Amino acid sequence: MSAVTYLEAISQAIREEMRRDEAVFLLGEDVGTYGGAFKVSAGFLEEFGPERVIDTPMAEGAIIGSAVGAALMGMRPIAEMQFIDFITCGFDQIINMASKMYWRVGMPVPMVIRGPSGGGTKGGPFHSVSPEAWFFHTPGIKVVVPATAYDAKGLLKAAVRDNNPVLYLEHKLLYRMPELREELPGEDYTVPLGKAIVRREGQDMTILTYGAMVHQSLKAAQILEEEDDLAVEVVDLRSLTPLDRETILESVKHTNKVLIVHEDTLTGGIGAELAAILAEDLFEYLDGPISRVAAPDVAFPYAPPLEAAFLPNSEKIVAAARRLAAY
Amino acid sequence: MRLGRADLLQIYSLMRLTRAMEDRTRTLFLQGRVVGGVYTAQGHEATTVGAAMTLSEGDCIVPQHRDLGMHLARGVSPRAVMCQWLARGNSPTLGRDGQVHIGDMHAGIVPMISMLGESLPVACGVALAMKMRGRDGVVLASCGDGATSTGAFHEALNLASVQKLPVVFLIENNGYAYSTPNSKEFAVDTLSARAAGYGMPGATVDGNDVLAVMEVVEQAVKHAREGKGPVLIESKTFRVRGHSEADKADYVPPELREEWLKKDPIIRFEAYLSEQGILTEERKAEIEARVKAIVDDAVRFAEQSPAPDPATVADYVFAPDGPIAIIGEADDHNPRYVNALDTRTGKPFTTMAQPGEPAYRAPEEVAKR
Amino acid sequence: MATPVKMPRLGESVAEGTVGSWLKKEGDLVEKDESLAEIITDKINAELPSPVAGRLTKILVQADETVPVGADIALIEENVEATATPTPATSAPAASAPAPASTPVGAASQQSAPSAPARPQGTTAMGNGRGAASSSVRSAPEQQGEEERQRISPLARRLAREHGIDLNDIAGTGLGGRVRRDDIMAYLANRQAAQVAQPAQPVQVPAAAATAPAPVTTAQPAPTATPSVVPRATEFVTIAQTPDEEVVEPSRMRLAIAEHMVRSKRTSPHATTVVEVDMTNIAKWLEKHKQEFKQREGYSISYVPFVMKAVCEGIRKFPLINSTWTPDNKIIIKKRINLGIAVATDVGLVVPTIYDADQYTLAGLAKQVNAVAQRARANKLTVQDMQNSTFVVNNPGTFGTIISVPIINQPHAGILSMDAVVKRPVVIEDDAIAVRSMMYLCLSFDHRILDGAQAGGFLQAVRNKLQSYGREIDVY
Repeated sequence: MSAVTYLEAISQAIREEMRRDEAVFLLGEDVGTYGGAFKVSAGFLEEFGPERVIDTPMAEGAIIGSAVGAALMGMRPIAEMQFIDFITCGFDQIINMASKMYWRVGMPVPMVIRGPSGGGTKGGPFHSVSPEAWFFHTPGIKVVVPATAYDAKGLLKAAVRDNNPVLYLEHKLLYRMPELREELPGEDYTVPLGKAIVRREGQDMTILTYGAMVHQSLKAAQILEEEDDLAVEVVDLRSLTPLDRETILESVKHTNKVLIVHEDTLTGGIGAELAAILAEDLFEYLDGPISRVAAPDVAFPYAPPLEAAFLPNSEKIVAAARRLAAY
Repeated sequence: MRLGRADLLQIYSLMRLTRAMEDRTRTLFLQGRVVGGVYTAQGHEATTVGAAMTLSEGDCIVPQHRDLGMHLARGVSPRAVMCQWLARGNSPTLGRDGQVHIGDMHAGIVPMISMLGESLPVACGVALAMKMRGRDGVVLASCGDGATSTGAFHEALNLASVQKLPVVFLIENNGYAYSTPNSKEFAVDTLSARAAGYGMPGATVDGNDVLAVMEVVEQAVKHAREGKGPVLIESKTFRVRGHSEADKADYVPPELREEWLKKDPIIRFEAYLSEQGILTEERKAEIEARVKAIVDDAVRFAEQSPAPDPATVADYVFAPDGPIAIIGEADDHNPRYVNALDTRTGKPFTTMAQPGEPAYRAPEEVAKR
Repeated sequence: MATPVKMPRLGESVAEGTVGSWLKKEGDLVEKDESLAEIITDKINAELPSPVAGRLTKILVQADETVPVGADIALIEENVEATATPTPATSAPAASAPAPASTPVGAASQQSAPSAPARPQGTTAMGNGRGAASSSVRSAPEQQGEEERQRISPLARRLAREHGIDLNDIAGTGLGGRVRRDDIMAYLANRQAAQVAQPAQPVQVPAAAATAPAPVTTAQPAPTATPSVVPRATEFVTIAQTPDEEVVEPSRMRLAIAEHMVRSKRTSPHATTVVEVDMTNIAKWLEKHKQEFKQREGYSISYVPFVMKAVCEGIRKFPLINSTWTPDNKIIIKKRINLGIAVATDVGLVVPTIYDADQYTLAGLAKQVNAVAQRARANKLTVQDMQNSTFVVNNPGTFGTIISVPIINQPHAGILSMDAVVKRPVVIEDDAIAVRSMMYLCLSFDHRILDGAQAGGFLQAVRNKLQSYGREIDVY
């Protein structure tokens, strides 16, 4: 198989699942005739027909709500949010209908909500959000964030096969990034939910991160090795709910210093929860304070210099790592 | 719909059972044995029982809080309902949720949530699945006059109409959304007028006349079942009690209430059945006794059921892995499917009446169909 | 048995109710669910159905009386002959829902009381939303205990506990003198080493090779030959004996210094040798150019960079000066010349490192020295700063002393003191007498590694370098 982009990997995942299981179908705005705003579902309408590739009206509540209804009937809908920012229009359906259903009545809701999240594309405040914290906080929803093409495909397949509502957060900046092109296995594979992966090993410090920030962290780790002789371990969480506590704790136990990096804003971001877990479970293994690099507590700005100042990047990570190393 | 004597008596029994269950729930509440919010629907019995009785087995109801009549018409267990009210550990929600927030997809009942209106898009999803699977099932989705103001109502009707989904939207317009009268809720004269805005047929019916309701709903169900798309029905009735049992409802002019009490659906139907010679005094007494026995049994069963175990408070967040059956298709009760059983307990769902529960129907009511 | 009839809760937020009127009187027989009384609340009015069948034996609350929800308002004697109706579980009103045990998922804090290590360095937020986030180290906290906690990372504390180390023994190399993992590990390595090394005999400098200048032994300012300066609580406790005495608690840093000094003397057999250096040309240059240099560069230049450069020269000629004696009796010669420069701060003496000192020009060395001294005084020294020195230059001359005999900074082979430059009459060429700016350089060295020959040779090289400068000096 030839190398594919992160976006192509997502497309492959949906296509293969729809071929494999007739209960799987796709619904969302512009997914059919147009092939999706980002062309994830290009060609799908032709292959699967309008019954299984549904161009919905502009109504996120109805998209998500009808996905719940179909899932209750035993189908496996994939509901697309054209930009994940629009998920707020369907908030009630996720929080009160989808997430509580199984817990209340014992009936599973096997659905996936997916869409492009994250910034760096001059999208401004309504096309760049990182929404994971809102749903990480809600019991009953799984949240996954792939950072590579391999994981994008494997995690989406696993999400479709999972019997719970899964929020699958793609990062739009990674969609067509040439550096992320990779050859994927020809045979069917999944990446299990709830397993993090160590992208780079090291014994001086751990960086816990996910999404596009994995790549910024790896860049930073390289710099730190070359310039500071600091061996930084980079852990890609991949799955926020369920969280792979074991891998996280093992790594920090070993390095004794931890830096958490995420593109989401600082206060109440995933990093805050990770910091609490680390402080509770590994207090006597910490040789320095648990540190975080995140965006400032403000909405996502549009103008390029503001966007650059807003987003964490390898330089900011390097600076924070150096401060932590010196402690 | 050709209704025989047995059918009519069945309908009447269900209306009586609905009323008796709610009266008893009120008593339990006043005795402090039911906690939290208690919602009843005195006056809705014609709408709820009538509408649900037009459905076939493969159809689905998406009820709201005043639709106990629909639940009972579809065969929901009164014991399960009382376990819900009494927050028992073996209730269909294992004590996690209260009131009639219950359902069972195998029996075509979608469990409601408190955000009224939000069930309507879910109804669309159920109908969508039926349509995708080439089935001729119909979804009966109800809501109140208040819920018609939500965005979810609009989104659902719009989606159903553009996708031609087999949904009958039944608005139970009982005059008030809590303390908000129709005059503050919407600006049109009848809610069924909104149907035109979605390109679907609409009708308004006297919601306290059970046979009228059945006739209109039956037509709508047929329309939907034939693939012609959704229908909007407004059933005009009245909420003669408060929004909840903790609401005095003195915002309702007493004369208005008095007027509607005279139009009580059970009294009206009794009168009709008596005129037709179908309901005699003995038959009536016998039905009352049977209904009381069912309610007594349900309460007794619930009181003897255990409270939920606090140790399980953080359990049941996620469903386990495994295959899922498409509801209504072959083998969907096979326990290998995660949605065939209540995997929280490993046991079958308890929403529907089980064998051994007192029967709703008297022998001759079942006989000639 | 009398069954109580309780005031019901008619509505979630209702806390009390009033008996409007009694529909039954005392002595009446009542059926189950039969209405007993009319109850009035501010939400609704309702009739109260009897919980059991029996006889209403006692009315406890009269009409128009208001009582809280749950209060007994009447008693019913259940009729034994009547059909046994099971006494309903009179559940208490809503409030009695058991509060679920608020167990945090996952293990909570471990054994010892969690103390918050100084937090501020941790968070990095770009922007205004987190004003206080990047504040620097907290200023001097009140209690000793608080200060202690600041000085030790949780990990280091645990390691210390596990290895039975008294934290008073450890000097911290973390920011602000914090004790960190590496310090514990270094201490442990050292502890092992100290156990292996020979006990040091105080040795006077031998009358060595003729070329060496006359060895001078002077009394050391430091206390002599006490096995340990650290009072162990179990062995010895000092209290003021009389009003004429004052007991002072040494700071952590002082204790660390004390420990090091004792250990150094115990480890290395110290010998000392001195030269005097004619610094006249350098002194004149400094007098003439010091001010302008400072103005131009923003940092000062002094005798120190000159001596450092000369020391590098000396080390190049005598590499053995830049070495270490290992616990297994080997000598490791260090290739890089990382000069430690002693800096006095208000908390004590620190010796930060200037890496590859031989690569800098005089101006470059001045810049490095200034930078490191500033960091030291601001308590901002990094790990790097505090490690890896190979030889130390000490500068007590600022205090006006003319000769000082320093103690070696372990694990070096020697340490050089440069004392005050003083104008003195000396004999120059052709037996003339002139007034020159003279400085004594005093080298303490580890006699295991070095003999007087290398020591003297080194000092000679240093002196020659310093005396090689003419009137015009290019410091760049």
